[in-house]
Amino acid sequence: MLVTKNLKFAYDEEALLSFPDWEVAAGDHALILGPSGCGKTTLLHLLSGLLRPTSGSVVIEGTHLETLSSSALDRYRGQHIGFVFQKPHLIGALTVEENIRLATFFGHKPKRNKEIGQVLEDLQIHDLAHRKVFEVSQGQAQRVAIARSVINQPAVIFGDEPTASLDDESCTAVIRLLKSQAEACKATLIIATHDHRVKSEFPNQLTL
Amino acid sequence: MNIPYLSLRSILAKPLSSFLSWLLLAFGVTVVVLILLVSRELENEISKNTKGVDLVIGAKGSPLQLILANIFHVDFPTGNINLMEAAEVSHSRYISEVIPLSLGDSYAGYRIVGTTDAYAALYGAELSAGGWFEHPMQVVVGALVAEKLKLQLGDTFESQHGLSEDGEAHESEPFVVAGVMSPSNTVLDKLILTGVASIWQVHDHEEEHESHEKDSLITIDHWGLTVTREQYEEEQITSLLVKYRSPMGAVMLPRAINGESSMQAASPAFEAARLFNIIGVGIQVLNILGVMIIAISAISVFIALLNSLKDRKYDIAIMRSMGATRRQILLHILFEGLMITFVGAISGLLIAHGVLYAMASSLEGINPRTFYFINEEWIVLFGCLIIGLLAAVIPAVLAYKTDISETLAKG
Repeated sequence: MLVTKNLKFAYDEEALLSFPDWEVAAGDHALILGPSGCGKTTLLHLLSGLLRPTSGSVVIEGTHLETLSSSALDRYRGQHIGFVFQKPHLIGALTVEENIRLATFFGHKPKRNKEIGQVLEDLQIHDLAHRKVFEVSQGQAQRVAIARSVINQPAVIFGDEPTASLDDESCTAVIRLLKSQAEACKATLIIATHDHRVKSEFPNQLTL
Repeated sequence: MNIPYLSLRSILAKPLSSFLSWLLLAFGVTVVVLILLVSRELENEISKNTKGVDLVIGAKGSPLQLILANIFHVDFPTGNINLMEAAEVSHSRYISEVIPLSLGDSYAGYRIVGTTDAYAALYGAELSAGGWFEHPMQVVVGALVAEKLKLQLGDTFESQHGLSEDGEAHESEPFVVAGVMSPSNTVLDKLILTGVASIWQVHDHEEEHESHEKDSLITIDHWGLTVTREQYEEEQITSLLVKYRSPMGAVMLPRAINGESSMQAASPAFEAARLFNIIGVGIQVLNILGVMIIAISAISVFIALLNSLKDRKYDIAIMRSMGATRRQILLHILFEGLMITFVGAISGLLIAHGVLYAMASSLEGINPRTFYFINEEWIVLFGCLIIGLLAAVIPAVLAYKTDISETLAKG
């Protein structure tokens, strides 16, 4: 469902990054491994359409990302792709529930009240729905971020070091949540990390 | 969830800086709109009260004072003119209508004006009770006077010499209220009208004239007034309100009076314009102040947005990652600037009207239409929105250009 070919990206003329061709099957969860600064985040941004490659192609479920216009790419990202970052990065002006609702608004999938209630329930943050985001703990915020990434039932969920700043216990919990949520909405999970604690969880691995 | 709601929430998320921007704009708009409204009301008031009076003839002195005392009843009269001289001037062929005024007395701070029926007719006054003054010592009181002093038909009072409340009381026969006028929103509301002869009678009693024998009567045609020869020769009035017969009057009459008599003539329109010129400087200074405050508010909106942009760079990148287009981000920031300025401008308008209402309650005689909105207010409102747009456009474009990949990679 996700295929890359001859993917190259240059920040400037001297530093050209080229990435090996890669394929991830639907529902297959995969890891991008490698030390800091080797281009994991760059590859993740290329795969998710946050960045356009200098050359080469990314195909997700038959859609060639490089052929989409800027706003079509934004729309595609909103509808088919979810993100979880190292820090939750919730919108401070909004409540927990509104943060999740915002994803449905930008993803052009409005009126998902039932789904929002369900995902809050699943991630055990239902009680926090109307709290300001600065009132919840870091671990709870990360769960809100996961809820936000899955609410539009994306095809792919990208995680950029989602466990890097967590202790062992939380790390396992987050990976388990990500996996179960991805499976619940039949999404493919792709995680870029240098965290060896998660290696054993994913058979499909790309090492840069 | 929509873009305006998102903007509203991010305004509310930083209440202090939003409050400052709102306060500055509301204050600036209040000043500008209040000046607009007050000067408009003042012009209105002036044109309403000078309507139908082309020229005021009175004793020599300041022409502005002559107008203020005899048209608006705010300043003191310049002095008196002889009845005989005034009556002779009235026969001029340039004059179509003339109304005599006799000022100088008051009751409880309200001015008593000795005049003829024509004075009330000039402002289209109507009676709410009673009849017009026919005999000496009968008065018709203005609506405001009746209300404030609780005067009713048949009530009596003694007038005071002078125009202030602490004036010496006349020990003469009292005035009787014969009629009460309905509100006319003109200067009449705060006046007490009586016949010219009543004023003479009050003063004659004090001077204890000896000769009371019947005299031959003289009718002054233009005034609809009949006086004794003794009165004709000895009495005085304060001024004449003149309406020209033809535009030629404006050319000939003032020159003739100012040059060849002991009286002076002043044009209400001209003096009002002069008055406006004098206070115009103050109005302009206040206006500039108001516009400057609005400009400062725009800068405050600009700085607040630009500052918040630093903290919100990541928010914006996250929104983009969730599918927000560049255009939506641009609108989000623009709406934020527009909302603050819109609310600020509307509050300013409302505060200005509120202040005007408070002023109207304390300033007697001026009746501003508190909830009458003038066209210039739309211009102020529209101008504020433009300013809000201008203040928000640079931050919005910067937000529009946010490099999401770079921002997210740094996070």
